[in-house]
Amino acid sequence: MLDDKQILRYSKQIILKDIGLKGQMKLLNSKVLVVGAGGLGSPALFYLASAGVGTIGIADYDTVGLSNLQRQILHFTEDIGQKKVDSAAEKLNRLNPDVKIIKHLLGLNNLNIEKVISEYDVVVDCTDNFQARYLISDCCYFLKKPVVEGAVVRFVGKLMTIIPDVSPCYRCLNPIPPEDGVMPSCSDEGILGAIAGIIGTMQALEAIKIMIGIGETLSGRLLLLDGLSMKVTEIALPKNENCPICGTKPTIKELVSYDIKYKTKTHLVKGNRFKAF
Amino acid sequence: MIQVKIFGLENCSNETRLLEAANIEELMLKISEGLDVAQIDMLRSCAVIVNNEYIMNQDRVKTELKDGDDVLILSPIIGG
Repeated sequence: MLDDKQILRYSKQIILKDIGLKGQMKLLNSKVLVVGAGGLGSPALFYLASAGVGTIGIADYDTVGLSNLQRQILHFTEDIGQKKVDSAAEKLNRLNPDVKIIKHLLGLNNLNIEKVISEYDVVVDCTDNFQARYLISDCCYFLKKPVVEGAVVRFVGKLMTIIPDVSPCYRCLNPIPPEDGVMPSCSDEGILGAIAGIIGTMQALEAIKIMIGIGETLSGRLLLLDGLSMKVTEIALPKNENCPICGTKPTIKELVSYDIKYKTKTHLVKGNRFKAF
Repeated sequence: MIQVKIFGLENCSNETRLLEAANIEELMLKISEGLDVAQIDMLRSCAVIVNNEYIMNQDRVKTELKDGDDVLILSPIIGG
């Protein structure tokens, strides 16, 4: 049961008829894994922690850098050089001591991902590369865990929720990764922080709805945001019967580890050319 | 006319455009006009959905288009 402080802390959402005490208890008893504590992970983690999700796992191997701070709002200037999982956990513990934060200081790969994901009810994909996105989607399909998938670049963002066997998965849309050298890496592309803020926040909302079991998720729907024109488009996404993992004749039976080579790009800043950092 | 919407490709408007094309491959060539080589490579990595059905890469030449078809081209954006 909730104590008096918890009832007060969550009162604004407990009075919502779709949540109530029952919904709040569900959140406190839920476990969510956020992969990537960066631009999307920051807002997602803030709202998941403030809403009182009982256990939050954070998986990230990276360190806070100066160029992260423009969008990765969980990390502050004095955190530069710290591991993102440490910086994130410290803020979230201060925000809401009710929440148990589990730090996974590792890069997920085909050997360790199942063990990590199997501990959680819902996965929020806030990663920045193809390898991780395929791995998370595939693993969650095998383990039958819902995934909230968000991605951003420049002024655009996209969001979809994957309920295994019900909605299309990441591979339904992109059956195989692009060829080497075609796609620029995330660190080579620009992004406005507020776009990551919007999509990451929407990811938290989707995950909360799944954990409580309310509303209608973006399962089978793809939401596209163009922040420059502030247009939101929603597309009904069917399952892909030719999907190599969840289609009618699956060819992928185990986790695949990709080594994708990204296109490198040079930028012009103040007249000096330098390789993207 | 085919209704085409492209999403997430740099320097490519996501406004709906109307184009004439006999198949997906021809449509891709029309969209490629004015794009640089790198963008064309990226365009070819996009997911293609015609009237709510995915078109696999190998089926792009044989997928015929007809008047009124709705084509959605989605760039596989990955940033986080």
